[in-house]
Amino acid sequence: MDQKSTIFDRIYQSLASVKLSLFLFGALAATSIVGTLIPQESTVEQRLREYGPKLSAIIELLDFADMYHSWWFKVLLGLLTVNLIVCSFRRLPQTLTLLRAGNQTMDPARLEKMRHHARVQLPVPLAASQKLLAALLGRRYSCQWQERENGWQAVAEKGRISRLGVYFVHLGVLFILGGALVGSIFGFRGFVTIPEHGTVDRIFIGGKHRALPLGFAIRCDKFTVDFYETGAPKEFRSDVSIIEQGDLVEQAAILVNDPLTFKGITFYQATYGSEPSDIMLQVKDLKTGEGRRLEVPFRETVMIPGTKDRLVVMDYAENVGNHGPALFIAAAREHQQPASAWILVKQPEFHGNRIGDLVVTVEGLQNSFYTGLQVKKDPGIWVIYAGFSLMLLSMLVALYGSHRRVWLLLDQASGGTKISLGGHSSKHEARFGREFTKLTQDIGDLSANRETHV
Amino acid sequence: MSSSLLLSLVTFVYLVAALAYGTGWLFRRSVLSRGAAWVSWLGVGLHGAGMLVRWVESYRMGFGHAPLSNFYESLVFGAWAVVLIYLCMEARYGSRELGVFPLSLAFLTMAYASFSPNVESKIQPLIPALKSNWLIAHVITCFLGYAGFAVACGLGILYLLRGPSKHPDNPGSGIRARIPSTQILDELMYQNVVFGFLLLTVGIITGSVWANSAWGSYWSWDPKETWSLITWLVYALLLHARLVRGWHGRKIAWVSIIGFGCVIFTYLGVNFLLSGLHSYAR
Repeated sequence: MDQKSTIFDRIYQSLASVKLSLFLFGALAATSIVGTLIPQESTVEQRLREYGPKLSAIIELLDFADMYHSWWFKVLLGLLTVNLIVCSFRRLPQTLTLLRAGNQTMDPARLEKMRHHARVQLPVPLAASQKLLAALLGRRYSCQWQERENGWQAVAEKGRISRLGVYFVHLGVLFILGGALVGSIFGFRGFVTIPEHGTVDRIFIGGKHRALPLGFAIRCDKFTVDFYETGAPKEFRSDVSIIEQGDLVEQAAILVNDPLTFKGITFYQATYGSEPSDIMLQVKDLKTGEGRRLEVPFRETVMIPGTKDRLVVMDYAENVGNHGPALFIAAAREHQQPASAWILVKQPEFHGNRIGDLVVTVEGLQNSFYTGLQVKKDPGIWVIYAGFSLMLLSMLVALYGSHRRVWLLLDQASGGTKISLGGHSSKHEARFGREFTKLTQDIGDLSANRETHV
Repeated sequence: MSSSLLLSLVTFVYLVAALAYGTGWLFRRSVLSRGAAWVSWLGVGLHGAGMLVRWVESYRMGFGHAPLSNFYESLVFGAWAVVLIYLCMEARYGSRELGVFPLSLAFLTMAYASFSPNVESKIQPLIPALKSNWLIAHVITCFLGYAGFAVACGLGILYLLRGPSKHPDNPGSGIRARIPSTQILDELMYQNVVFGFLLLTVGIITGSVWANSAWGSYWSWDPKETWSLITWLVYALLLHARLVRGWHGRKIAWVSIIGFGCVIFTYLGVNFLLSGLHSYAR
């Protein structure tokens, strides 16, 4: 039983040690470098080409290509979290003890040993001196007075909170890590492209593999891109409408740095592009001589009316073989092998505008923009922002504040009151030294006659 | 007066100040050091005015934005921050012995920004990703932090130069004797790291909030982000080691130098050697 408890003790001790914190800071910093040198989320083939089989094997083994989500990086982060919690809990009682330590009785010998100490004689009776001092100190510190035999003692202090600052910094870090966890469990990140005038009610998560219904629809009314005279982009803007159960509920513009949030889901302007729309084709069968006009939406398979033949416009190119824009069209005719060809848009007489026995002419074609939106839901973001604020404010207090204390002993003496004082500061000794000297002078100035030893 | 003329003038003002600090320090002529301090304050004033004029000029060109948007502007602001932080430290501690180092750094940075063919100094319009009020807060806090770390690193190098830890208070003669006492160096180093750490924290947080509104992600492990975190971790290590484990002197000096190496990599290495979302900072 004893054996066991010592093992647990040891584990607890090392989890609570600042040595472990230092190690984890160093380890996280050092390993993080690896992920900035090896491109993250590359493919296996890319890595084999770049690093060869041996290095690639190591990269696969240690998950270096998705390092920040690898099990061992998560273990390091987890250890840091545990270390931070355990360490804070172990040290908190000591801090609280330190905060209470001011209440103990003070003797002149201990005051003399303090780094900052002084003695002042006031030619004022004890009771009057105590009143004067209480008024003076009360303006600068929070004080506790206690009567003793033939005298008084007091503790004056300031900046108690600075000793607790570090715990709030750590709490802030926990908020941030917790917020990230909440976001990764209850949130999602996705992507959607919407053609101008198009409407979507679902987005794609994890690289087009999973569709997620939004519960409402979003329509892209207009996409605009502006350029400066230099040719650099000036503004990307999607004007969108939110439609819920057939009703238009909101209209807004989405710009870079100005996203739109609806029902906790936020849409960010991410990319844009253009694609053909309003494609009107004339399809003539060379065998039968029959010609038909039909409208074909981009990348959607349609039946040629009156036949069992299918047609799909698979791709669009600005310039094919210096003959201008062209559509790549595939046709699957009844009882025939599927075939495909590039059909030139601007040169309807071109002899190659045919797929098997079908002669295709493009009679109408528009180019319209589509907008690419990053879609995100992150219920953890407010926890993270709370963590940010808490961490910053308490860092200020922890690093720039200091717990300053002055102990005073007042004794009745012939012709007045003898005052001994000693001071201590948790940090910033030099600054406190000046404060202490000033205080001693001000106490002496309470009467004209003074005698000071600093 | 145009901003580029003002900023070129500032470059030479810093050179004069650095030379005056240097000679005043080596030959113990306090008149020179005092003069150097005045010249430096003049330089900082002109430098600030130069950045403001550049801001106004960008509005005249029709796409006004704070002069904090590209590599040139960040170099100019960084040099200004280093001198300003040094002068505040000098005013607070009343020692003018170290001015030659920050002023030389500022002079070299300004000279590189103004005269290197690799640095584009024209005022350019903002691309959409940079059009945000977070730009000003993010860049100012980051570079003030970097400047604090730069000063701390300089102090760390001086600490190591001053001599082996066995005789910290007996530096002997020569140039070593001109370096302030190890206690002062240690204290100033710590103060600058604390300042830098706070500002870097604000810089990372503002960057994170900004990224969240621009790209929908407050943290993407982009190389710039990751290197800023690495830098933050190194200084977090320094602070914990000093405040809890009682590290002082040489150890702290070394960590402070390593930390500034990370700062330099975050600022320059990431842009020139790695690729990522911060590519406009080239």
